Amino acid sequence: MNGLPLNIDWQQILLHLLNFVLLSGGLYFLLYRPIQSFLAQREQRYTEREAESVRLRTEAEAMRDEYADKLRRADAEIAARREQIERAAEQEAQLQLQQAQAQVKLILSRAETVSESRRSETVRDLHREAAALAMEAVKHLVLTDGEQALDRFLDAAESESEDEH
Amino acid sequence: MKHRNLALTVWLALILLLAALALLVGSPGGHQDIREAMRDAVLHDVNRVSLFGLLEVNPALISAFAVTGLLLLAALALRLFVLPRFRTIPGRFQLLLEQAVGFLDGLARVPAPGKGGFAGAYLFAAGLYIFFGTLFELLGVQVLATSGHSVALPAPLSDINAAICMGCQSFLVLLGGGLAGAGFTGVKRTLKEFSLPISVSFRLFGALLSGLLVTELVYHYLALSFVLPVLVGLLFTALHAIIQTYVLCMLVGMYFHEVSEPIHQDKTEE
Repeated sequence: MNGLPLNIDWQQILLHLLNFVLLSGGLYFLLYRPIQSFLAQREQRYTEREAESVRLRTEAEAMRDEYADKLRRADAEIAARREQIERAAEQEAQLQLQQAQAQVKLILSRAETVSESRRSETVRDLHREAAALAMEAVKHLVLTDGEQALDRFLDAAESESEDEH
Repeated sequence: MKHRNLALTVWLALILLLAALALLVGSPGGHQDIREAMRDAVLHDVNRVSLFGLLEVNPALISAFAVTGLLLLAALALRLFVLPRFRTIPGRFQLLLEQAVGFLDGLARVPAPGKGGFAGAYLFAAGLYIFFGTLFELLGVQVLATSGHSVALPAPLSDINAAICMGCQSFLVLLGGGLAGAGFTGVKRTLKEFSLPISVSFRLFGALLSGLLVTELVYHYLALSFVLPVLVGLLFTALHAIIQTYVLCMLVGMYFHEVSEPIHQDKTEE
């Protein structure tokens, strides 16, 4: 028993320290460091995976935006094309209508001309026929009845003209 | 059913017979007095054990070496057979090991990057040492003292020398952490906590010694040696193992965090 209270013994304290240094070194190399290393590697792996997933998500979002933009542009282009085609079709229809109207007018004017000429020709033919008939009648009267025939003729002509009026 | 009842009856009869015999036979002469046993549990001045024939030491030192040997053997076995099979998604045992390392390392996590590793390793070793060292008492390994008595190996930290060693080495770790984290300011901060080694030493010693004394008291009387030791063993050993491990690791981690804080943060706080 030394002089220190509670049987404190420096030699045994040092032996305990030696024991603990032995233990802590052994545990550090056999357990602590390998487990820490494993945990750090796993954490790094998860961090990399997270970064990769964030990158992929960002790319996917950019692609989605790009395609949405393309779709919007395609819709606008389709609408513009449709409007253009409708306008062209309308113009074409208008043009065809105008052409048809012009043709109608032309056909009508031609028909009027033809009808006018035919009417004039018919009138002329009738005049000519009437003159021929008149000449025939005159010849007949002159050759057959003399003065009476001429009077009847003149009376007939006069009554005809009155009927016509 | 009939066989089971018969076996149960035989078992109970055997217990009663042995209890009666133990009470009737009594113990041989030369039995150590309770006061002497408890005084020896504190001072270790009677029942000392020979260390390889070189010197006489307290039984707790033998316990310390035994615990170290067992822990290193277990660590070697884990390193060889368990750690190579670690998987990304851990199983139960792997999770237990990861939690032990992560928890103790987390207690020593400091704001200065790269400065907490040493304290984490220290807390890992100290935590395992206190926990398993305290549980070692439950094994009741008997050794022959130089006085001729048979002595059950106690928990290493129920010896004042082991407790002082633990307190001093914790203080040295704090000193090193303060120096590494905040330079001379860290050293000054650590020296301000000069009472730490004393408080840690005597807290450990007192806590574990009280458990040892109560256990000694209970085991000393034959009448108290039935059923009660199970309860006492659990209360004063298993709970001590958990509580003292947590208290020391948390205290050292907290002080380490305090003394190794970088200087510019102090100025900001001021």
